[in-house]
Amino acid sequence: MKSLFFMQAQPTGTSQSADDRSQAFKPVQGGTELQSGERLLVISYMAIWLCVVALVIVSFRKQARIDRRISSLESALSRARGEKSEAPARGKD
Amino acid sequence: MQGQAVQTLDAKPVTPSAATGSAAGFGFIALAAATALALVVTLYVVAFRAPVEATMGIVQKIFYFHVPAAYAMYLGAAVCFVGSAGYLARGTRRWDAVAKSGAEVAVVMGMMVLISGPLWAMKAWGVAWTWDPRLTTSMLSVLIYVAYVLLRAFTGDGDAERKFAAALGVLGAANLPIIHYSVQKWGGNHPKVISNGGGGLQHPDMKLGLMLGFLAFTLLAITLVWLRAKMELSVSKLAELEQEALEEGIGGD
Repeated sequence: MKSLFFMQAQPTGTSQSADDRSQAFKPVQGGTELQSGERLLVISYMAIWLCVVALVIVSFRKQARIDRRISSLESALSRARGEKSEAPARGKD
Repeated sequence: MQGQAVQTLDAKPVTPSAATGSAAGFGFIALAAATALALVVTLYVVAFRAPVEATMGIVQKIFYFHVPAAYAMYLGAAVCFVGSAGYLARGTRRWDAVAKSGAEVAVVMGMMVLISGPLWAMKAWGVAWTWDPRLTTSMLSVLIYVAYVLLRAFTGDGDAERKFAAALGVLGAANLPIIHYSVQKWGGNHPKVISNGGGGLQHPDMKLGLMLGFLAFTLLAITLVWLRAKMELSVSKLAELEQEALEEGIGGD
């Protein structure tokens, strides 16, 4: 009887010992937002466009470099072939 | 024998005539303009017309680019499969260029999927990644095409390397149906909003946003494949010219 009276007199939820701490995390619907949806959306869209823009820029730069090299090689080849065709003609003269 | 056939077909000039070249150039510019327009319209519809989803909030709008990017990855992989099969059958540089460009587009689109998906999941699931069947098979597929691109970048450009890559391009496509049906077969966390059993998009503007996303990413995938294939053919032409220059005894610079 004495012990029951003592238990009723205990203050509830004010002073907890280390053993009273929760030992499991329980999920709750509609809890406090931890991740900003707006920020995740912006990061996602930025990453998507970065992938596309990077590929397009790299492709155009490489294409321009290849085109320059092709035109220089073509002109060098045509010069060399022109000189070769002129050389036998001069030899006959 | 096959090697001889390859050499013969490879000897064909890879550059088109001036008339077809200018027509192709105009076609590419028209396609690029249509792609840019479709992307802008899609962004407008997603940002200003499609409503915010009731439970997930604004982060659900990742969906309008995540799903079309996954579909465009399938397109790139299918182009790689067709190009690879064509190269194994015919052995021409054109098929090889198609296969390589398809793999590159599959990698880029796959990266978009693997970046945007976890960002959505951080909000929707509370974790960026789980070893869900669809996520795992999608990552496996992207890794296959990354392997293809690395193989082409860091090995030589000989017939043997191209054939090995073509075999990888054909075998890599086997994973695509597994990705698609993984949700139905093995369950998992990945949503199936628009596939069998899903509730679908509940608002007409949500459907419009997704349809425009599919259109924009189809055009984007075609544009990127065209751009990269054109570049690959230019690389082949450059290799031919360098060979000719060596035979003529000139450096070219």
